[in-house]
Amino acid sequence: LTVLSPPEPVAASGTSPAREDVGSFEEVYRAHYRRVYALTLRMTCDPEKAEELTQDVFVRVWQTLSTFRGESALSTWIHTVAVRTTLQHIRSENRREARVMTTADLTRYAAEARRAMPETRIDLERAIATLPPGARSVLLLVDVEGYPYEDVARLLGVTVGTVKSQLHRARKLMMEALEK
Amino acid sequence: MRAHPSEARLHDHADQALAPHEAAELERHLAECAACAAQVERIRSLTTSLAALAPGAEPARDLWPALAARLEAEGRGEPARVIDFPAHRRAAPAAVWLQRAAAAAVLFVGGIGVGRATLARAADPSSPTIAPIVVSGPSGGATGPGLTPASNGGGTPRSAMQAARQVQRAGTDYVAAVGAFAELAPGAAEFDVQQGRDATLSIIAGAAQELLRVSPADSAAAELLRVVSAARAADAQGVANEVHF
Repeated sequence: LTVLSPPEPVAASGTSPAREDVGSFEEVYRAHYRRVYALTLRMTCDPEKAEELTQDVFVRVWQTLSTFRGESALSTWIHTVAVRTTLQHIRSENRREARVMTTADLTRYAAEARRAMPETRIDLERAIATLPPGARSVLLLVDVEGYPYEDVARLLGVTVGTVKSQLHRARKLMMEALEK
Repeated sequence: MRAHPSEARLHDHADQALAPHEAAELERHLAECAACAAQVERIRSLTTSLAALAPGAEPARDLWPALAARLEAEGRGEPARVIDFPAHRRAAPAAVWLQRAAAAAVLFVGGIGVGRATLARAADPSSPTIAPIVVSGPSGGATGPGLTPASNGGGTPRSAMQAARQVQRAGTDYVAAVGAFAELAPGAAEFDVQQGRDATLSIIAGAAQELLRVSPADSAAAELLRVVSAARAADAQGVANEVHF
């Protein structure tokens, strides 16, 4: 008996297959990164973290693209990956420390939101940023992104009742913040 | 006028989430109650504005160059179908457990030292990748009775199912290798084929149980556990069987 290791594949052109693959993936990235960045920015209210998460999302999309079966639109699928990735990040952050948004954080976020989304309503963006993280996630997923209660409950691992109570609390806080 | 509906009911009504008869009843209340009608209007105005927020945002810098470099460095790999890897690619405990199980099983095959068997390393010696093993017969081809080339799907497992399959392949290779060794080397009868199979099935069962602990709804893990448990039960009764998953 002998035990052999198979030869490493070598690309004839001198360009590795991985590099060619990455090149063709750029089109997917360019078509979808703006929506992913908007989501990660609103969910985290942290521009640097949002950039990092946007990259993480597309790494995950890249690694799991072969499992995409075309049963939903590619944009929907990518968006779901973005939501899951961001929620996981928020959960791990929450486990480490209860992050409190300072006035300086809020000012920095509002400046980034104004630059990154010139057409958006900054008063709304600021009010969203002041919400507690849990209520903010639910409000963004239901009222901004349009997910049904049931999907949000599954994504967050909570009941529909919890989603609704978080949503109603978030809306109440939003209305109070906007009327100040 | 009837009692005011709850705040939650007003939200449900604004979201059109009430049954028709409930909505009609609430509408009758709103027609008489300016305060509740105004609250429903505030909720609707807010949700309409939120739905109209900018759908996209432009990062301050082009993220693609750094992302492309990262993709080239990390490679495509197999999807993490069963275990969902968290952000920053920190493997979940179950995935780590399975990768270790697969690594242990592959090393187990290498460790029996059949003939000139060696565990090949990947091209990059610093890489922790488990190199694929190809068991070939005397003619150089994988022709021995029951020998199963394990070159397909070798390497570091990236999903739980891939890891489990690697364990299974390693078990198959072990059984085949010990069988061949027993044929070629007189006095090798002390190698217990069944013992190797038991160890392999035990590893896979443990992997499936760990998967189910982390993801109770994982049907693939449930199926894996079912198949392996059936095989172990058949073994215990001395009934010939094969494991496929």
